[in-house]
Amino acid sequence: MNTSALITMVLTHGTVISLLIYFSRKVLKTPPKAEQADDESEEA
Amino acid sequence: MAKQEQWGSRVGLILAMAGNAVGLGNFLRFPVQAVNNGGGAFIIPYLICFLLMGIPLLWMEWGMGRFGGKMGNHSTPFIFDTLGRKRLWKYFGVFGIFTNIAVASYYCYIESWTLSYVFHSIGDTFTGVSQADTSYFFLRYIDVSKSTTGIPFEGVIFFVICLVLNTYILSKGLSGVEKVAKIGVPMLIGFGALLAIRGLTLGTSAASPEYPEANAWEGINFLWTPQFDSLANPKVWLAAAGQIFFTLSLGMGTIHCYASYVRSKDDIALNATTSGFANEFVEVVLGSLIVIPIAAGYLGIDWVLDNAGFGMAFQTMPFLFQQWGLVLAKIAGVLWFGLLFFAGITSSLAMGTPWIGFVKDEFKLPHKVAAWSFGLIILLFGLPTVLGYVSGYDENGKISFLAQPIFDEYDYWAGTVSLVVFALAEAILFAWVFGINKGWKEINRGADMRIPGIFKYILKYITPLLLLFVFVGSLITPPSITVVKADIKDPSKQEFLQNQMQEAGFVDIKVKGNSVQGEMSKNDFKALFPGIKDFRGWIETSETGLTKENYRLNDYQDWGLEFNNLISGKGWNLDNESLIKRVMNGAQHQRIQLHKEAMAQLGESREDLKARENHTDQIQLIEQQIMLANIGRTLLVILFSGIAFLVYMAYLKRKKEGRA
Repeated sequence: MNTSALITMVLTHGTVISLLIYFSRKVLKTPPKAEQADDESEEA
Repeated sequence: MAKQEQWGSRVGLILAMAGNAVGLGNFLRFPVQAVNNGGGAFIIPYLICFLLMGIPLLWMEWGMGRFGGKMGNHSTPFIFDTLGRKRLWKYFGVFGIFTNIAVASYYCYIESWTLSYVFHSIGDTFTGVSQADTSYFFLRYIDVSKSTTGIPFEGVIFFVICLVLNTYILSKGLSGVEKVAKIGVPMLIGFGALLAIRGLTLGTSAASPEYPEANAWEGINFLWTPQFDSLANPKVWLAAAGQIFFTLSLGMGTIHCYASYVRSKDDIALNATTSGFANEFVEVVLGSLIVIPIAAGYLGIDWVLDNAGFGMAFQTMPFLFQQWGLVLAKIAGVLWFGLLFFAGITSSLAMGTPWIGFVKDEFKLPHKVAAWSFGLIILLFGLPTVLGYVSGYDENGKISFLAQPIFDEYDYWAGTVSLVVFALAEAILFAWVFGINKGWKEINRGADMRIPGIFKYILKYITPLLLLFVFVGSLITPPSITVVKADIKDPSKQEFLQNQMQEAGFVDIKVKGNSVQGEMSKNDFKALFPGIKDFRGWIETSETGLTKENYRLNDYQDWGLEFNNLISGKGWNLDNESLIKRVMNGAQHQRIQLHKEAMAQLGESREDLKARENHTDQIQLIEQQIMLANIGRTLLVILFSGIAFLVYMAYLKRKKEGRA
């Protein structure tokens, strides 16, 4: 495998995997919002 | 008011959204698009389009969906109606139901192939079968008059099984969809990871006496070696933008529908971003490490370049798995086709929800009735894709030609053009009619992440402009021209090659130092050499004596030349793949014309009479294709008009009830 292909692949795969892990962790760590009736009057 | 249906959990929602986006295209379309657009040349425009168009459109569609859902609207006609004051917008929203039904009509068929191939993999159908016979098996499967198992109309039966399965799950409501996503998405990632590891570690170990130079690394090299000059090639940008659409299921209306069941205070920014990156993980990481490296590992990169296409999944992979031994071949077959099946079903389920949401909201149909009505519609519009094929046979009764014009028309008009039209309309509606300030507030309401402010401007200016570029680009695409450049030092060989090129119909042939160069438009090539896939194939079958080491191929579309032609009154030449030529069946008519010209040259000798008969058969096959394509288009027009009529009826009903 040539060096430039290896660098591009590792960089792209690394970025996609890191961002997926980062966002997934954020999803799992964020506590769910309290159940409440949707307040439609608030929205305009 | 009855309690609105909602997603059971956040993870379920994200997996359902990811499952909607992850489809067959992640494993089949992405690598083929990358190969056909120069390998590493493709990845940079692709990632830029993901950031500037994909992610912003995801936020936009999630935002529109949640906003509409708050008002009790779960399909795009009336979601658009809540965003724009003008009545016309809801008719743009018709695309959000139409596209799903039309795409599901052929998508369920592809899904049924994967299901059938799972059974064939378990049942040892491919054991000891050659590459040619594995490939031929697929043709026999598509030609429903030829059974592969002894069961008559096997293709139809598997299609119906698949459709019933989809409809049954849909009849269980969002919880059914969520359950399938929670099982299907992790399974397809697991299956994909196992096969990707194989693709990544295959190296040269699979080279055989028949393909001694086979090397999986070459496949990976080809996909990932960056070519920065591609950034100036509009053709690659168009392909990259198209792939982003397709892969993220943008411009379909499914995202709006799923998001309409999100509570108004819940996050959409982080959810949308996470599901988008989950899709990219499956496509860029797993999708790039399976088909191309494995095929290159066994058959060599040249074979891959010549044969890259959707059919590789069914015509090549089962043969390659056989090289792993009886047990592993079975396991790999189940993993691969199981993976494709899960990727397919999580997407086709999403395609059912806009119709169900629409008839439930507007005509108060019970959920189960709404779901089974979807199944019935798909059966009506899907069967023509199964049965509407054209096949030609040789003297021994073997299939020598097979085309699926109705399938192709659905794919082109609903699965490609409609997406862009719909996305362009919604981008304008959201950023310019609803207003970017309100839209930005909507996207950020309840957000669990901070979206960089620059995206507000990207949403307003860059995304619509990119969409306009994609739309205009597909409307008036100039002819794609391939330049063949060969390095030859010997003057006599240079002259020989020049003559060969001239005879084949190349233009602008010139010798520059040690290289001979000539070019030909792909329109002309396909018409002149209908049996040869591309220029590489011509070089191999011609007597040029060229080898892969001493020639290069470059594709370009000369937009500048066409602009100059237009200004100087010479008109604008179109590629046969452009929307306008497609409407006029340009490629088929060009081929008929060439056959007629060839017939006009023939005399009355026995050979000539045989050739004349052959040309007549070919013309008949092309005419059958045109007829079926026109039937496909008529069905699409009926479908669109029918949905538009129902939207109008719903509007009248709302007006009567004082809700419009």
